[in-house]
Amino acid sequence: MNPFVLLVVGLMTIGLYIVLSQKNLVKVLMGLALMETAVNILIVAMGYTPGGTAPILSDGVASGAFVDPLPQALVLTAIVIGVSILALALSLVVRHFQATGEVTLEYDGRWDE
Amino acid sequence: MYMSDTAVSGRNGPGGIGSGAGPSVIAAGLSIIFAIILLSVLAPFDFDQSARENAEFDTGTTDGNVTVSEHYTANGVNETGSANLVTSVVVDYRGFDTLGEVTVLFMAATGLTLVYGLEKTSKRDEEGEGNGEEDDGEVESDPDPAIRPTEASLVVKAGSKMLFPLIMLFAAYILVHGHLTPGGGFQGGVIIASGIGLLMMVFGSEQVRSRTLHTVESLSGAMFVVIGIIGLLLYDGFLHNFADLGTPGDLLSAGLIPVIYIFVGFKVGSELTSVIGKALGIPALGTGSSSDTREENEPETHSPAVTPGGDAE
Repeated sequence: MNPFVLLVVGLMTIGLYIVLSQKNLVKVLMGLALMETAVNILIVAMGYTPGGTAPILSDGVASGAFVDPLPQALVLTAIVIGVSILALALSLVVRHFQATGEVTLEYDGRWDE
Repeated sequence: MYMSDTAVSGRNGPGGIGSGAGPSVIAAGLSIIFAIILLSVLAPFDFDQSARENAEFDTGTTDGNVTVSEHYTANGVNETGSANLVTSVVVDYRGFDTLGEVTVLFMAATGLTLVYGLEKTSKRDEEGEGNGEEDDGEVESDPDPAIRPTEASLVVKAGSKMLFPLIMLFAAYILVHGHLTPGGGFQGGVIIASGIGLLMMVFGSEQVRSRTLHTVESLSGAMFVVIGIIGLLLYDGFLHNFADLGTPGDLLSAGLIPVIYIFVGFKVGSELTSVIGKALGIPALGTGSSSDTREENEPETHSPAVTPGGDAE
């Protein structure tokens, strides 16, 4: 079995467990980031060619020995968008903390006032 | 009503693992089931050859059965002049995609500004109403010493002053060599933001004028679109690489790719700098001397000792 499969499944499972079990919103976002990393690793691993080098033309590297550059470009986009989403979500968590004094979504009647 | 609030807030435990064992066990069970399903889906998948055998993504533009990836690796250097094939995909073949990506980053930064802008508006409304309970803002103006921003030490100040030009030099290298080596606009922009973020943490985030950041961001984003429209009007299509491609591997090669990537770098750098500045402006998180926003922390410090003091005012 490909070791990348084990890595991806492990990261994805840990991330899913964190998202399902934790009540702290910051920890939930950490779990989401972990799952996102797993997906990115999977996409990059799909572009791997046996014996392939980084897809950068330089001296002494034949043009056919590259790994696939397309998944790497797509993952570059995915990373940037993941950072954007994480920043926005964390700001909402901070705002929620400022409004309620908690970082969880448990209801304790304080919003009634 | 207030007393009941403070009584409830005593229940404020650390948001760790669920209160009973039940939710954790269910979560663990679901995660294991998910892992088994994912493993059974991915295990027979042969990563090494999948890219070569999926010939259904045929470009049709070149000779016969060639996948998009094969076309990129075989002809990318000749068509775009960029030695780094990832950059040729990101900026040239899928430049429109990158424009959308930069737009997503811009929207996230705008959303952050909106979230913190809401805070100020709602506070102003509360002051306008002027109910009696708002008086405890006077108490909050003397914050907990643990969260009061302290001035950075001399070592940190001098060290960050020495490091800042080196960080900017490294950012310029990463930015300009995006078509030759790993790196490019996004990576260089992040390095720029980390350098300015270091200065903001040491000397205070008020030192950076947000108007300058917005100007740089708007201009670089507009230049990206302007370059694309020039290609649309005068050449083949949007973001057409109309400049001289040069020799692959030279610094001045790959036509418009370095130009676009430098604009992307400035845009990403200014956006992330404003995001860091917003985060540092949060009380108890950074050095932002926003004593007027301190009272937003009031639910956290709701102890019975504080509330009577507020009423005495």
